[in-house]
Amino acid sequence: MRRVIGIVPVLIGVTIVVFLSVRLVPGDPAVAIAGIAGTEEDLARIRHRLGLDRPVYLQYAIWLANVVRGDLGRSVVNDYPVLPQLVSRGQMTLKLSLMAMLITAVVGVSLGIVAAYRSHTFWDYLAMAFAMTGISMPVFWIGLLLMYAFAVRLGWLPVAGAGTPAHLVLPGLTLALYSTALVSRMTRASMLDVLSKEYVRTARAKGCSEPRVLIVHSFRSGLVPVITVFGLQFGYMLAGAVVTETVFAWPGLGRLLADAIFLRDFPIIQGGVLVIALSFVLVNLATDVIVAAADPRLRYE
Amino acid sequence: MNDTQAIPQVRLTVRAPVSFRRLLASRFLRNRAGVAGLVIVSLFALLGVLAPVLRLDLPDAQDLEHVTEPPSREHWLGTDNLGRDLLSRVVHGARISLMIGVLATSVGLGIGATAGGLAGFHGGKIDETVMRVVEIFMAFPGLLLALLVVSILGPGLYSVMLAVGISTSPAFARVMRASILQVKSEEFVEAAQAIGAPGLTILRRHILPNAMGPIIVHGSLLLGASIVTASSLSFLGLGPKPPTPEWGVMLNEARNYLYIAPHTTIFPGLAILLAALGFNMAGDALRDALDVRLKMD
Repeated sequence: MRRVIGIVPVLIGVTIVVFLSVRLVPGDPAVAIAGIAGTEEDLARIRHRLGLDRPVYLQYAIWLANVVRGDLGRSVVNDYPVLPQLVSRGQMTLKLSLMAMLITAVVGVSLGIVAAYRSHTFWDYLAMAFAMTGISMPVFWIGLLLMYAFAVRLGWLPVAGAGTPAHLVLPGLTLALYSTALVSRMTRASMLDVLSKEYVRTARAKGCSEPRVLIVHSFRSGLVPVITVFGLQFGYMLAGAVVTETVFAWPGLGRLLADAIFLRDFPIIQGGVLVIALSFVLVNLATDVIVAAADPRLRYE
Repeated sequence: MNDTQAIPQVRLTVRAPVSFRRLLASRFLRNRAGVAGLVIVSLFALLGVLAPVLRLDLPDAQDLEHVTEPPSREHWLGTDNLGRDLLSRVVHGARISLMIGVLATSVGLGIGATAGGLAGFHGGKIDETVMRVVEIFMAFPGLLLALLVVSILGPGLYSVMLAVGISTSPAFARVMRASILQVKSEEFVEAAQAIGAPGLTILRRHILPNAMGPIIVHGSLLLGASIVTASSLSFLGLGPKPPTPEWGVMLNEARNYLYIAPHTTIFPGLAILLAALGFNMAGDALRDALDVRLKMD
């Protein structure tokens, strides 16, 4: 509960940063709208209409009030309201991120457990070599390589776009690689830690079967730190989707954001960044709650 | 004379004291992956430095009669869509990418370590304020913060550098603060306070030297990540403009020729991967050698 109240200043801070960031952009929006032919009077009128002649804190208050009501303004480029665009694109990104999270959970955690359980064997080294490569891999490059191999050469999967479940495979794998690698490293470290604990030795000594030692005695406490990484990774995926979605022409939030930055469409940038940052904060909050549920030791702190 | 013979001779073999640096080096060198990483990084650095004197084609020299040629004896890595020698471009790219990596990390370290150090050393109100701000910036996942900064500054080499640097600074601040706080609670700091050493002297002579380990490890681990993030921004078209031989820019151009000239996509990306891999392996080894556990809180 204290954690919930604790995020309020962070949320407010995020809105301030997003609001101020756009004001830091060089150039006067009034001049941009009026064009070179605009007179001083035109400029003053436009500034007044945009509210730019009011003090900054008042502008922020008005902007925030609008944001709370779900009004994020209109795109400068196509004049559509920002929020519906963010929502429809956000659903696509969510789909992609969930797919990637699923891959990360299954592959990353299993690799980590195998590596920890068979530590300092060939399998451990193989898994960790994969993980090291994975965290060093430029996302867009592995995306292009996968596209070349499985779509262009083999023709098994669609090159780009969205629509069928098959469209989800390559972008999903691409987005998942970094997180999978990171999670497998974290899982290994955490499981190694747990497997050396006294109670695991006790479990073995009293004749528990190995699967039982792993699943009942080690898994739960070993996975608690990994859950935190999971939450963080989800946020990084929402941001990382910018790159993956550009490679695979996936019509998601990231692509929208990348295009908006290119076109200097600030209402979209502002809205997109705000939505991603806020979801990141909320996901981390949810993660903390889950961690507390999984680890009773933390609840009493 | 007799006296000395009466005393049983005890032979003490005293080993020469091992300096910290030598110990560190020997621990690092025992890590094979770390050495491999260091070799890779040095190789890239060497190529980057020597790029202008190596007998390569000019990175921008076009040869429109030999476009998208696969690797050959004349062009070891083949040519791109404008007939430019890919080897030359990749090697010149090493200069740019290493520079971006080092400068971006320095920016992040400079801002982050100063803020975190200040917070950790002073504590109280300053600590609270700085960490609040850090917490707010941590709410933006790394790449998103970099994107926000680039969209404010406009595309370009230096905005990418600055953007990546700024996006890494909150984490630097946390690492620095945690490490200062830890050292501050050590007994030798208390001892220095007890003999009345002034605060700045304690900071400079006792706290900082002992608090640098984690921040150095964190920085070395971020070098690789910074190179990858910066090249991602360039790939998105937010970095330097073509024909700059930057690896991300090259990949952005190459992706349109994925069908007919996959080698133009493979080599620049491979260079990014290897450079990042080198820094990450070396950073891992350095962390193990210094025996640092990176704490963020």
